[in-house]
Amino acid sequence: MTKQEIISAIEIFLDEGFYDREWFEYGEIERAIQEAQYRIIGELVKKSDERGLRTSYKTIQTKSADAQDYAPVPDYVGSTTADGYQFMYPRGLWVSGDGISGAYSGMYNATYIDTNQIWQHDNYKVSGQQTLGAYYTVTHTHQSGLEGADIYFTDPSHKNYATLFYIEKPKEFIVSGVGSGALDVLTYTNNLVLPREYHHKIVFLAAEILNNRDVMEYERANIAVREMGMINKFEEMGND
Amino acid sequence: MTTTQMIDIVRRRMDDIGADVLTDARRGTFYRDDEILLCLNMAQDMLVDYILESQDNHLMSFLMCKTPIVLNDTFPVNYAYAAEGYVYSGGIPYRAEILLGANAIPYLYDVVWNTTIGIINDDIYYDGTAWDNYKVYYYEYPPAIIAAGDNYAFLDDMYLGVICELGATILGFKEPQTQREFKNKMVARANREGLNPDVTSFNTILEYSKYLLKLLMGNK
Repeated sequence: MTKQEIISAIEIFLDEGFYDREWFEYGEIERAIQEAQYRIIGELVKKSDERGLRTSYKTIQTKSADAQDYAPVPDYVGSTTADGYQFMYPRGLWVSGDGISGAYSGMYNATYIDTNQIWQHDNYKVSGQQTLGAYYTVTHTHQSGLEGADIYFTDPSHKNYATLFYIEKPKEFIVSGVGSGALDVLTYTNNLVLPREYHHKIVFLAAEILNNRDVMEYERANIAVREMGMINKFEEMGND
Repeated sequence: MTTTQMIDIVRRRMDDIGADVLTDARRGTFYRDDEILLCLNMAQDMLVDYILESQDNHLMSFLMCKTPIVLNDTFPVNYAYAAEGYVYSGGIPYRAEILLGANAIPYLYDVVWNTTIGIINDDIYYDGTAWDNYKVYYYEYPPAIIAAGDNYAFLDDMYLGVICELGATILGFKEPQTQREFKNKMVARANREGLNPDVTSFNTILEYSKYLLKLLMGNK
């Protein structure tokens, strides 16, 4: 779907359709789209749905300083990598040690482990070295405490070169322009990151997220009913 | 089936009577043609998603590409999913296993790369030292349904029985969309299915349309 179709389709499900938009501003719709993308990508990662994740893959190369066990995701300034993509989920890493067979050659495929397990490797290893860069983890804050991402290796005895494959964070879907429906003169920044057959899911979910931001009357009623211990017990009440 | 016919079918299904038989006064105006068109396209994409998920060979044959990707080809924009792969050495083909994304990463620079082909984003990886070419057959997206167009990516009965029906269902969510009614639907459904409406997160439009799609496809 094109960017305009995405917005138009969501507006069909909000109030009276895309020629009579009246309640939701574009800013809200943009945020709902973003939230829907995050949720769906999160689910795809959990399910390892490679068909859905295909278009989100990015690669970046980095290296650690001598005898350091971590390397920054390069030029990670303001949460954006040098090529403008934001890092979201690590999906794979190849690593090679400097001086063993040269930068980016003699590479080893590393397995992702959680950050706490890297600390276990760090503390339990015998005589300075355990496995040869075979495990890695990624943190979402720099060693320095600043915003950014670091890759940690299990073998810090030399300089490590790394090629990280990751899922990019979808860039914000931005609509700018004033007006309503067909009369709008709108410009759009960034398209959805997922493949075409997932676009309708984002549209449906974004519309649902927006429609759920209600005035809370159902929740209020539910709380009251639950406090009385009566939720879903209407049938029993009738039998008393 | 032409798009005009499809829009007319959806309009009749929604009781938003078509312009061809009645006067302006009785002509339906609640659903605009371009809204119907959008919903038909979403229905088509849902069907594509369903087919690729189902791995049903008969259905997947509708999406099979006409020309495979070979070495130095630009990655096709209508690529949807990998189907078959071959690697070539001196003109002799060897059937290759295709791995996608994270499944391909462990093999990328490996000595056991062998006949495997990897697809990560728009890049195709293979062992360039062992093979001099590759061929990747893939499933492609059907062309979008456009106004005043003729559609023949699927059979007419699929356009009629699945895409139009599903499009009408999706379009039906336009009507009651005040937030309160939307929430009412969610709560009603949660109660019906014995779920707690407060802690249940589901996507009403998607779930409902998917349910219908499953019925239309004979519960496969």
